[in-house]
Amino acid sequence: MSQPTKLNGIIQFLERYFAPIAAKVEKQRYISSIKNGMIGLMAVLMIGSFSLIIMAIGNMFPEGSSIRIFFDQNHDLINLPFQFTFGLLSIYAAISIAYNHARQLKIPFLHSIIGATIATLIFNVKIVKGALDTSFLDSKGLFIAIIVSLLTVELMAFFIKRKITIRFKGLPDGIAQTFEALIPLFTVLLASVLINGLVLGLTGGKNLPEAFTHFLAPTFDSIDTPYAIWLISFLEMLFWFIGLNGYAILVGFVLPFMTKYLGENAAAFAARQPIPHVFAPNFWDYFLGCTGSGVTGAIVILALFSKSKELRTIGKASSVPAIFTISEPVVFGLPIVYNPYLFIPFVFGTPTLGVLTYYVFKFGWVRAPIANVGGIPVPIAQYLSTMDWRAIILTIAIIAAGVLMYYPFFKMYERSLLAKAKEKDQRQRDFDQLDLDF
Amino acid sequence: MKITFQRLHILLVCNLGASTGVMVTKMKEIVKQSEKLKPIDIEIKAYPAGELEEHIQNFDVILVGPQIKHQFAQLSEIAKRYNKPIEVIDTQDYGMVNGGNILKSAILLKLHAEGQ
Repeated sequence: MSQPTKLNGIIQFLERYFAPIAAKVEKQRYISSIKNGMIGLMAVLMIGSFSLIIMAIGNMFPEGSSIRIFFDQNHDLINLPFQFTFGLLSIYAAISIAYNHARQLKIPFLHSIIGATIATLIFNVKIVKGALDTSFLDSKGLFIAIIVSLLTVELMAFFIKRKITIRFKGLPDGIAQTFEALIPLFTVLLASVLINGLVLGLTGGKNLPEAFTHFLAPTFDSIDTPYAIWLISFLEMLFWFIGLNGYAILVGFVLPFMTKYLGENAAAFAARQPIPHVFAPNFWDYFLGCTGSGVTGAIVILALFSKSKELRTIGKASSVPAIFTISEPVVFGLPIVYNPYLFIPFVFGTPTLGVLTYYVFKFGWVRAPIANVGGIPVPIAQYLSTMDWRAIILTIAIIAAGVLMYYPFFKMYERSLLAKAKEKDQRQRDFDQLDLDF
Repeated sequence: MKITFQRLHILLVCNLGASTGVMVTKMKEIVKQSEKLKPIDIEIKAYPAGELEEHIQNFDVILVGPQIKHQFAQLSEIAKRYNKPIEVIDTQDYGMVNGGNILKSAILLKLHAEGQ
């Protein structure tokens, strides 16, 4: 008992200083627009991933077999969905982020989206000998698309809210909005062209995504390291421990990076080259958070075989969600939140397990995620996102390691529950007084 | 305590809604099967926290998912403006998808708001 009592101080500390940070982060309007915009973008990545999965299926057949030849001959066609999703990611990012930001700033959506798309195209498309070079519209231009879209919408909002617009009396709403958008859109266009020209001039022909990658490459890659993964996972678990959705709080910062990595992984896979990154969105979803943030499936397994009837009931109720990588039932039901017995494995064990998994991918023992899937049960999700059967073995290994990690702590908690006599609390009495039939 | 009201429209606010959706289905089932709730007009809906202000007027009580407890101060400010009672759902009830308990809490919340 002495250990949990000591941990109560930590819990109070977290409650007082950590929870307000979460509220501030989620309220921050840029972070919130990036988060919602990038989550909207996941749909594009998921449908684009289909071509990768189909391609991978084709590659399973031996060289020279008729099915393989069919896949090879139709490679361009199978590749088409990939090219028009992953290959034009920056445009979709501009649309999705501009929509969410305009919604947040309460200005008309349509021209905000148009403005952000124009600006993104100007910065990300190079004109080489009169032809458009669209190669920077993929994940290479993602960060520029995000920043430019936010700035464009801010600028449009500035003009619209200060009424620096052309307005005619008596026009129907739709047409009036078009005229209203003219001055802000022109300003966006002019500013983009000027800044783009300036960048090209200063760097000797590099456009903004190129210059950005050139100077900030170390920063971009810094998220895909064991240290960053440990820290991000550690923070996520701290938030979850105090009952807050740590993923939702952190994803606004991390998703742009993860999406960029996924884009590069997918492109490398399509070109049959080595996979450069580990920390793609599905790494977090299905490996770092295997069976739910905190490898909670391991706790579900322990609960299913518990001596306490209460824990067994919770285990049963949370097993199907765990297969679908939903952790809330066990996190709030067991509960793990504010549970001093489980603090150490949940908050410190999870990131450590995540780093070990990172090395499994890094050493090439299992192919790192190249596709993006969602809403698919364990371990099919792990298989589809990597298209590597060894991912299934890795999944089982992660869950087994989770069971070992939680076991001693879980047993301590179980003992404390068994010892505690059940008492009807005030709430239950109030419920009974309502005299209802359920 | 006797239920004195005729209408109870419950709004659940949450994150992006996977687990809350299950909860709403469960609560609706209980309402359908309960004889004692027959005479009351009960409605249950879930929306993301960001849309609270768009929908709040049509509801009588607001229940907040425990995973967004940190937004409670902000949400209850909105609720206060519209004079609607608001409460965070009990974590264990939420985790166990105990729709019955949550329904009862909503009823109690409404009764307390009416000064009982």
